[in-house]
Amino acid sequence: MNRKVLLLIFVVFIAIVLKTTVLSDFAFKGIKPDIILIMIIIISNFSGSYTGEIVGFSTGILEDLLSMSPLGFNAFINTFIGYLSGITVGKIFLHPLIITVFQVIIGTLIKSLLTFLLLLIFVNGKADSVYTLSFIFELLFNIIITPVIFFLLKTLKLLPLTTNSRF
Amino acid sequence: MFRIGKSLKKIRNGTTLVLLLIISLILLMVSSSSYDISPKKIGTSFLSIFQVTASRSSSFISNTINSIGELKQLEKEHDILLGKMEDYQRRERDFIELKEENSRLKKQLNLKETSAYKLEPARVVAHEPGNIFNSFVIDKGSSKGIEKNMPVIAYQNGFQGLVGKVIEVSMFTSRIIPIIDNTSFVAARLLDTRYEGLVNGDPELQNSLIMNYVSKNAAKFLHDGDLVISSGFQSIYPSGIYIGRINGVNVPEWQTSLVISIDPIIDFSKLEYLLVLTGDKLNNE
Repeated sequence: MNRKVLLLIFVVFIAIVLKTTVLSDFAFKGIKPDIILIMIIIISNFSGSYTGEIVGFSTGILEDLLSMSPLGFNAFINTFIGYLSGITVGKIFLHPLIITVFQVIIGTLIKSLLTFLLLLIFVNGKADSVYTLSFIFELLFNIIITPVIFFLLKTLKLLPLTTNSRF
Repeated sequence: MFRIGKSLKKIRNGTTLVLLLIISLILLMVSSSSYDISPKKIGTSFLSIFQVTASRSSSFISNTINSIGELKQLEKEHDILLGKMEDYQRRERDFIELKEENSRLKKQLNLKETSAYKLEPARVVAHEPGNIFNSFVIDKGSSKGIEKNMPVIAYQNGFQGLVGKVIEVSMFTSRIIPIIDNTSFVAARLLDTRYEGLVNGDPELQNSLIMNYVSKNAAKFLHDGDLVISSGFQSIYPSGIYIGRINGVNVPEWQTSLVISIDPIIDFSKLEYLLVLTGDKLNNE
């Protein structure tokens, strides 16, 4: 694991801590955008599947520790999404922001499906709360907030140059 | 050569993916079962230090900025409060008289004296990162005597409202599951009509509650705005704590009981300070 990957994990960890504390009021009717998912997708989209799954797993574990979810819950989802988002590197030639927004939509849908399945198997009585009105709000929030996080990570020079980012 | 490199990269990515997913599943299986000392508990204790630090730093900065404006406001309030104090001194005299009269009347009616609970004040320092689970973290843990399953209350708009219960305790922080979570259940009673039921979080709506198992006979006596309190029946929650107000009554034909929608008395989005009930009732001698 190189220094860049460790730095990315650290940045996402800071985002998790801020999301649970200082930014916890950043919600509409109790629904928050999933900035961690968006960050993993952006990182994976620029750095490939390997970095994506490593960052996804590590930050998923940290997210589990700071949440009521059982350990391994977010780790499983984030690893899978980190891997999937990285497989388009060098295959689709569109502006990276357009690819990212598209991947965030797909990623949110896959996350909800995995969440539903894992809750059904491991957590009693929680699966009902996945596909509600909150899910639509979360999806819309994620789409709106993606460009902001995208340009923030780019400004901080945390994203390396890959085939998808040559535009 | 290029193709071999690409294939090796694919194999490495695939192997890492499978390995990490298996580790996640093993952790999920271990932490889903009820071990007292779990890897999650150890990790939470360590990481909560970062949450407490971030939360305290942000409130320190915002408090410092706000304090300048507050000084002028305080001067105005000081003058108003002096006037109010005189009024309260008069009211206190009335209150003591009324309390003595109340005590005498209670003794006549053979009722128990008013009692209070041992309370531990705490501050909310962190919330859930996602939208599926409902919980928050407070800045008091086992070092302050907090234990699992202790009830939590808060004061808002003049009401003592039920917040939830402690589900996880680390040395310096505790995790609270609020009553608005759909896996949280409270034995409840309608304050006016005394009908009993079971309140839990509405899985469809955030910050909303539903009350089940209330007899259909109660339908004609219920009105929007009626208060719901905890009944204390076979529950960790003490009786008489406000839960919410009725905002709709459904009479499903296929069910033998009513489904009542309730607005919680506590606004969970504004919750900042709360009280953990750390002990049994203390009788006021």
